Amino acid sequence: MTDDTHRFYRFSNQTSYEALTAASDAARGFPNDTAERWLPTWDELFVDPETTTDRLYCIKRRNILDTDDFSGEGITEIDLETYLERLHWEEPMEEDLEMIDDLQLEEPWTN
Amino acid sequence: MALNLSTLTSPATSGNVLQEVTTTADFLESVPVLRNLARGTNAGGDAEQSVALNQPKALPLIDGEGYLYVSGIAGNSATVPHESSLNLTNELEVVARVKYRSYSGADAQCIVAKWAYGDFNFRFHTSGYLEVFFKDSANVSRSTSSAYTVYNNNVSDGDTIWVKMTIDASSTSTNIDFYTSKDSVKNEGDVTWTALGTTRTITTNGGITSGTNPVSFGAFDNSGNINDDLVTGAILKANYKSAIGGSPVLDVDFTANNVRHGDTKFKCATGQVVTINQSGNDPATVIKKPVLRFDGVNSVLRGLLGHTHSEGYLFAAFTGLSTGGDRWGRVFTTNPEGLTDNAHGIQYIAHAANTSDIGVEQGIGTAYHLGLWDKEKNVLVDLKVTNGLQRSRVNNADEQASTNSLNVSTDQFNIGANEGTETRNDGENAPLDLEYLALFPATITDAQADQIRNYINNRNRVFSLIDSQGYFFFDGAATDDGQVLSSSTPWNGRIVGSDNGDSDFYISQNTLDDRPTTDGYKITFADNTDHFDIPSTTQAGWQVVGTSKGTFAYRVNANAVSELTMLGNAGTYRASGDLYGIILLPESATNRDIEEARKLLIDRGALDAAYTGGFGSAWLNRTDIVEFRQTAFQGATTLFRGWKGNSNLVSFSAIQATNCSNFQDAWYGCSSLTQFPQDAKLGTEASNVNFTSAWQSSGLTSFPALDLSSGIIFVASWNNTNISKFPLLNLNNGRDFELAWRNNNLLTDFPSGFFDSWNPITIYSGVFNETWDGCPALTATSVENILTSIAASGKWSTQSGLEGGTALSDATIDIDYNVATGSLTAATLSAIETLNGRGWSVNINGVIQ
Repeated sequence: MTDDTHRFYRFSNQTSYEALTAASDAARGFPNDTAERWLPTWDELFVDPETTTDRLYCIKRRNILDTDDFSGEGITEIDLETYLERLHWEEPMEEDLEMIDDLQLEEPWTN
Repeated sequence: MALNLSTLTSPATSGNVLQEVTTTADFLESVPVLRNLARGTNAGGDAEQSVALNQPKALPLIDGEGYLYVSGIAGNSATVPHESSLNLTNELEVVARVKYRSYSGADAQCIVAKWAYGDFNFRFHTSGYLEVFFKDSANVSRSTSSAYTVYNNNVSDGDTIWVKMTIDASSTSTNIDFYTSKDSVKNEGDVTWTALGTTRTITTNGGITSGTNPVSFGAFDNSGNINDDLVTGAILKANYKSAIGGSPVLDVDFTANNVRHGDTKFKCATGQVVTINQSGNDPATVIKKPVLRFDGVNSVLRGLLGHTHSEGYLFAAFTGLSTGGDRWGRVFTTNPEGLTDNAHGIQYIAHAANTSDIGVEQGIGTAYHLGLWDKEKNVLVDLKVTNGLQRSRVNNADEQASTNSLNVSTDQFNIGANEGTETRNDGENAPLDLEYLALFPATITDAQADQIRNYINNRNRVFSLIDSQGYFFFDGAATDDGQVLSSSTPWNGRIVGSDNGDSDFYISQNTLDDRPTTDGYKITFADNTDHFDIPSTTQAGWQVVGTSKGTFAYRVNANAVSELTMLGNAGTYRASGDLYGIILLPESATNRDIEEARKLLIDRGALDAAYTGGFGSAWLNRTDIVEFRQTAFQGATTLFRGWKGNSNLVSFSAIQATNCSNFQDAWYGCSSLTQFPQDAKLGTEASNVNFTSAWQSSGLTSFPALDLSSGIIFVASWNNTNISKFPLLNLNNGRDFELAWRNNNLLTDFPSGFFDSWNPITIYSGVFNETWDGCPALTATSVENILTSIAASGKWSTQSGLEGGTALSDATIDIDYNVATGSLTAATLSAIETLNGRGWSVNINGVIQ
């Protein structure tokens, strides 16, 4: 998974997201009365752990059509690094681990 | 090898017929007699066939090695799809080890071909010359053959030989050489080659054109179908190189250990997937154990039982080769002399009415084992027929039983066809590969019969627990290249014949962007969205997953599962990589069963030990995992959150993660894990290892004396566990112990001397912040041990630990302890004084001392 193979998004508006997928499913010939679809439902997207209201997802470039319109309100393209950082963001521990911030810990999401 | 009956039963109960197919017949030789190896007093006669046309043929091992058998019938070959790595430019070297029935004949015979639109076709000419066709850079077809035939190099038909051909087309004067060798060696590097005459030089346009047609063995593609230059014989190995003397671009070794008997797809040494194309009653077959091939047309062996036989046990190991052949083609039957086997025999295994079923006549009435007559299904049928109880099983599963009264007796037996009355003589033939037949009297016990079946299976390796008791096997090789794994064309994990999994079990993904893809051999999960939806299942057992990141086995509980990822049941992280298969065995699986399942997937191409790379979050929140088995993690660079949240994990075997430098949160929240393996190796070959929260909030009640000396960060490592007595560890490189043993309600004993040799490169501020806070059971002696030891280290509260260094902004040592165990000792107070003198502050039970 790289920026070359995928595009990464943060979705802040469910209505915009569903408009995107409805139009795109129609463009792909996926009738909306079956389970076949391009992208998952809003509830199946990854919850942004920081906001708990936004959603995160990566989309394979090979599956994106020129007609797919990502310009809707609340649809923000981000890069891989941001995607991973946000996806694995955690609330700070109750304790003040001031020195832990100075550590050069290996980023675990690049395996 | 002769099977000594006395090893299975007492001499007094020795069997009637014991047939064994470890024949001394040579490859493709017709077999007139199959010796009865039974030694008991009731031993019957041999199985015989005097008519050559009706004799089965032998497919033994060749020099102890396996091979691809090809029958010379159209539709039977092995192929490898084109890929760009197979392209040729100016040179080619082809090497093969083969054993053909004849090296000349009415038609040429393929050795290795990649032909029709380019590349080459290396073959035996009809007169025994070696010959090659290729297309030069102008796409003009060129050809030449060796100056002499292989017979000139003392090769005889049926010999096992090496052949080699090289093309040097780097100029328009293209040089081609041919070689043979009869060396009985298994490795190409050990071969001494003999040229078949001098170099052939032909004028070309130089170069070799590459096309996109597949590589083929046993036949070549002359017109879009791989049905020309058909071979009758065996191919042991073949490879070709795009540079003479270079490394193979394709290396297909049918003798390799990872290639199994009957495989129809396998990954070869150079990574390509080899497909065995099969057609008809005499299909191309990977042979890895000796078999007798019955042709389904007229092959039959017969014999006399030597006594009147009315009850007993029958064991037959075989593979049904085709749904062709005669209806109700027989595997084995008995009959009274002059009477038909179907009406008067008592033991009868057949190919049921040209279906994919095995039919078993149990004296009276027929039982069916559905779907088990299959060229890809090696089976061991055991059949018990007694008066009042008849029972048959296939691969120790799919039991069919009846309770009929019997009053028949037989004295003859038949293999491969029906009994020999005048009207049905040599009829109802079955196409099959026979491995083993044994008949025992009814006087043996069922327990002994189980031993016999297990003996045969251990010896012939017919089936594994997957076949008999597996819940599912999602087999990458059972998919088609490019198959869309949606609900329209899902992936079926059914195990035909298994008592637990013999029904369709589909997984799929209907969301295009979350859908894994298949190349017909492995399933690729491209990112952290790819996964499968499965019908909710609550099957506990051993889950074995074979992937490009390792082959792992874990015991899973009966939690409902509705999603499968590359690493099995879903947690909260979806790993990416290639999946070769997922198997679910019953909880009763033994270590051997689990290893067999792992080996199967490893042979397919899955990595055995963990790959070299990260396993961050790999099994995050897998609340289904109870026991984690695969622990060869030498390649792991990070196990960050590896098993975090595995709240039902109770057993974790001795992990070997010697090169891993990050164990942060690895077992965080494994609240059922009370013990950690004492033989574990964690980062012992790494440096600057991070153990932050590694065992935090786990259920550990003790901790082994592991070598954690490479660790530098122990923040909250054992925070909130149930450890009561902490061992003496070497954490001398530790730079930060903040929260390390905090909230250990049960911790009483902390060893003396723990920090005596503490000597990190640097010390972080807050190194002992809240380190022993929330330890209400800690004894006064432990407090003394902690403080006297830190004092003994001689470290000052500076980043360097040296007097005069940069002071730590937080230099407090926080300890809570149980005052009921005593007041602070004189040694403790003395240590505090020493520490205070080095800038440390000591906070005991909330009071600065």
